Amino acid sequence: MLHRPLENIRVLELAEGVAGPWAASLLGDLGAEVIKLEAIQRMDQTRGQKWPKPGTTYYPKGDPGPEPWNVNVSYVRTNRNKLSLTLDLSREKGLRLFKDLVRLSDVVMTNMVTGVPEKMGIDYFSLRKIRPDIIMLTSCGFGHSGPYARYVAMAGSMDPISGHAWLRGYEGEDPLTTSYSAHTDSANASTSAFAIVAALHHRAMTGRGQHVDVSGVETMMPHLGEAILDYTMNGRVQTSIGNRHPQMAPHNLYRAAGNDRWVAIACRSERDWQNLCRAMGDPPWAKSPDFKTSLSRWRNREALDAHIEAWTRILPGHDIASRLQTLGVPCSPLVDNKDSLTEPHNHAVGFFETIRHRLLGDFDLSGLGWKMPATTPGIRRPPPALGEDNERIYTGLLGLSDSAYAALLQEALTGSEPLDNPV
Amino acid sequence: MTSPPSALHGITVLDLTQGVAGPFCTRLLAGYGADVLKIEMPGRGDVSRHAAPFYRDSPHPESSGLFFHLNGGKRSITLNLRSPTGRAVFLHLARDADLVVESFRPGTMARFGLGRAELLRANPFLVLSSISNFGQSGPYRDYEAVDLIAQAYGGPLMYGQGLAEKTPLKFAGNSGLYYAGVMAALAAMGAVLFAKMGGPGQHVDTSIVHALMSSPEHKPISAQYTGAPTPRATSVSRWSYLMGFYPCKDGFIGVQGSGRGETWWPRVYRMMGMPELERDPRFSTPEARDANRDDFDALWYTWLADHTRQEIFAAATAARYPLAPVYTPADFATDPHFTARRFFEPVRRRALGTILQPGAPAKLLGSPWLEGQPAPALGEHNHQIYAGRLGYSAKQLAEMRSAGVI
Repeated sequence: MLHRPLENIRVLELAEGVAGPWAASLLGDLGAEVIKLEAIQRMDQTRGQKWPKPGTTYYPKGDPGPEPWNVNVSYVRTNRNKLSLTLDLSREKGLRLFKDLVRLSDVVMTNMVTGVPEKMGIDYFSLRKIRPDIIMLTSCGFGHSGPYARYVAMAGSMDPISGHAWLRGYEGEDPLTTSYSAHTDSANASTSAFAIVAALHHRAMTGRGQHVDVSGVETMMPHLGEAILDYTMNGRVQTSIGNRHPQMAPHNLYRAAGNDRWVAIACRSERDWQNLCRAMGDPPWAKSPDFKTSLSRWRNREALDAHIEAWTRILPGHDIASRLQTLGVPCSPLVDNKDSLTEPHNHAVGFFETIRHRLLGDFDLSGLGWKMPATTPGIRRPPPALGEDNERIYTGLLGLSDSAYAALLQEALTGSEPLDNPV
Repeated sequence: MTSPPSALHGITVLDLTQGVAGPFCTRLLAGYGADVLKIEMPGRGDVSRHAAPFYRDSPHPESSGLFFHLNGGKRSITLNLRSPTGRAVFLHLARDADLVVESFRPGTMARFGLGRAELLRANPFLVLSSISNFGQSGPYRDYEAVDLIAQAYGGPLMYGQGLAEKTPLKFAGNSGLYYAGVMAALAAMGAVLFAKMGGPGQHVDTSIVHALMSSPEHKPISAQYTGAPTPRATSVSRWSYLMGFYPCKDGFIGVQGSGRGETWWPRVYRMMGMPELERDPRFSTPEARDANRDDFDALWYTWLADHTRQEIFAAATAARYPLAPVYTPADFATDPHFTARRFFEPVRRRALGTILQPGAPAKLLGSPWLEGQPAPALGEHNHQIYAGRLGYSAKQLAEMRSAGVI
C-alpha cells in the first residue's frame, strides 16, 4: 500500500543553488526518493567554502564547526527530504555510474545552462537511449530554445528581466531603490515540481517520458498577468506603486509601536472602511469630504495614510490586527523570519517541524504550504550531509561489491568530505 | 502519427474558486489539458471579472484582463450552491470528477452541505482541494486577506524587501497569491495522482500564507543561527558589491554577480571591455577591491552611462556574466527571445479581437500545452453542460433560471 503520492518515484537531482534543489525537495515532500548528486571536487555552491572564516551569518552563532559544508544556512534551508550522493561526472567511470543510476530512475532534473548537458552527453536525447521513459527537466534562465537559450542567469538577473523589479519599487521611484530578490528561484522551483508531476501523470497514461523545458524568467512573468494584459490590451506600461493598490485605499503598510514594526491594512469596500473608522474610534478627520468615497480616499491617499499611521504607530501590530480582523477588515502585522517562529497561529497549525540534526541538534525547519491528511507528508529527513548516502546507494541500489565501492573512495570518485575550496 | 495527449488529459476538475490564487491553480491544470469546469454564482460571477485592467479601460464583466489571464481554457457554468437543487446538481457532477478546488472562507462548503464528508461519500476517490488565506484551522483561520496582507504575514516577499531606512516593500501586484496558486496546483495534482494509483480521496488544505512561508526565501534558520531577523539593506551598504540595480544609458540593469567573488570579477572586467583590470593591483583581490571601491565605481558607472541596456546585456552574455536589463511588460512582450519561444500567445476573443497573453510557465515538450484558449463568458457553457451532459429539458432549465439556481 502506498503512503505518499510519489513513493515509487526516483528523482536524480543534478542541480545546485536554490531553484533546482528546492524543486527536488518539493517532490521529496510528496514522497519521491530524491538523490542529490554532487562531487567532492565540486559541491553545491550553497554549501559554501570548505573552511570559511568564522563570524558570518551563514553558520550557527557564526561558528562553522567541524563540517561547515553541512550546516551552511543556504544549503540547510533548501535540501530537506533527499539523499546525498557524491560522484565525479568529469571522469568516464563516473559518467558510466551516473548512467547506471539513470537506468534506475524516473526523473532527472538539472539546472545546467543549455549546452552543458549536451556537451557532457547527458542531455534528454542521450538519456532517453538509456531509459526510454525518462522525464528530464532542464531549468535555466531562458529555457532550452530561442536566442538567449545559452545565456547564464541567476535569480538576480532573472528577476529584472521578468518585469518584477520594474513593478516592485517604491511609488514614484525608479528601480534603484528596489532590492535584489531571489523569489524567481521559488517560483521556478514550484512550477518545475508541478510540471514534473504533470509529466508523471502523462507517463502513467501513455508510458512515455519527455523533456520538460523550464525558463526561470517564464515561470515569473505569468505572476504579473494583469500588468502584462494592461500593456497588450491598453498599451499602458504600469509603474511601481509600492505597497499601495491601483484602486483600493487605504491599502498600505503602516508603522506600529516598536522599532521597525509594521502593520498592513487594506480596505476592499465601503464596509471595510466604515469598520476601520469604527476601530479607530470614528475620528473627526475621517468625516472630511476628502475621504467620503472610495475614489476620493484613493485620490487623497497620501493624507489618508498619514492619518491612519498616526493611529497605528502607538499600537502593537498584533492588537491592531486582532481588532480589525474581528470587524472583518484585512489586516496583519508584518511577520519576519524571527517572529514567524513564535507566531501562535503557526504553532497551532503545526507549520514548523522540529528536526534533529547530527551537527545542529534540534532546530525548526519551515514545513509545507499544504496539508494532505491521507498521505504521510512532512519532513522525513533533514538536509543530508555531503555523501551521507553513498554506501547505501552504491552497494545497495547499484549493487557494487564492497571492494568496488572501496575503489571509488580510493579514486576520489566519491567521498564525504570536499577535496578543496570550491572554485 | 497522432499527437500525444496533453499531460493532464483525462483529469476532470470542478472549479469553485474565484479571485487569483485558486483560479491560477486551475488555470495551470486547464493549460496542461485537464477538463476544468468553472462554477460561478449566477449574476456577478467571479470577483476578478470586476477587477482592472479592463479592455480599453471600459469596465465590463466580460472585459477584465485579470480574468482573461486567469481563466483561459476553462468552461463556465453558473450554479447557486445555496439552493437545494444547486447542491444536488453539484453532487451529481462531483461523482465523475477527480478534483474539486474551492477558495471560499473556511467552513463555507460544509454550510452548503458540500463538506469533505458529503463529497467523499458521493465519490470516495475525489480530491477536495481548499485554498484559503490562513488555512482551514488555527486561530487566524477566519482572517480576511488580500495579497498585501498575505505577503505581510507570509513573510519572504516582504520583510527583507526594500531599504532599511524606508518601509518594507511588497512584491508587485498579486505575486503572493500567484505563488500560492502554483503550490496549490502541485499539492492538488499530488493528491490526484495518489487517488489514481489506488489511494483514497482526501481533503487537501493549502494555506496561502504558509505556502509563502514555506518558500526557501523565508529563512527561519537564519533567525535561529543569528538570533535576529534578516535585516533589509541600507541604500549605502546594499548586500554586497555588484548586486542589485544600476542605471545605464537608456534605463536600468540588474545584476547578481558576487558570492564566490573570484569567479565573477574577471567576467565583469571582460564585459566592460577592460580585461586588464584583473591584473590591476587595485582590483585583483577582494581586499583591494574593497579598499578601492570608489575607483572601480568611477569606471563602472561611466561605462554603464555610455551603454544601452541591450549593449550591456550582449556584453554580459559574451562574458558569461549573469546580468540582465530591467524590463517593463512592453519590453518583454516584444523581445525576440520570448517571441521565438512563443511564450506570449494570441488569444482570440469573439467580441474584442485578439489579445496577447502569457502562455505556458513550463514547456512539456512531449505533451502539448493548450495554446490560445480564451477565458469563458459567464455561464457560456450552461447549455452544453445542463442540456447536453446532464440532459435537462428546456423547461427545466427555464425553471432553474427563474429560481436563480443558474
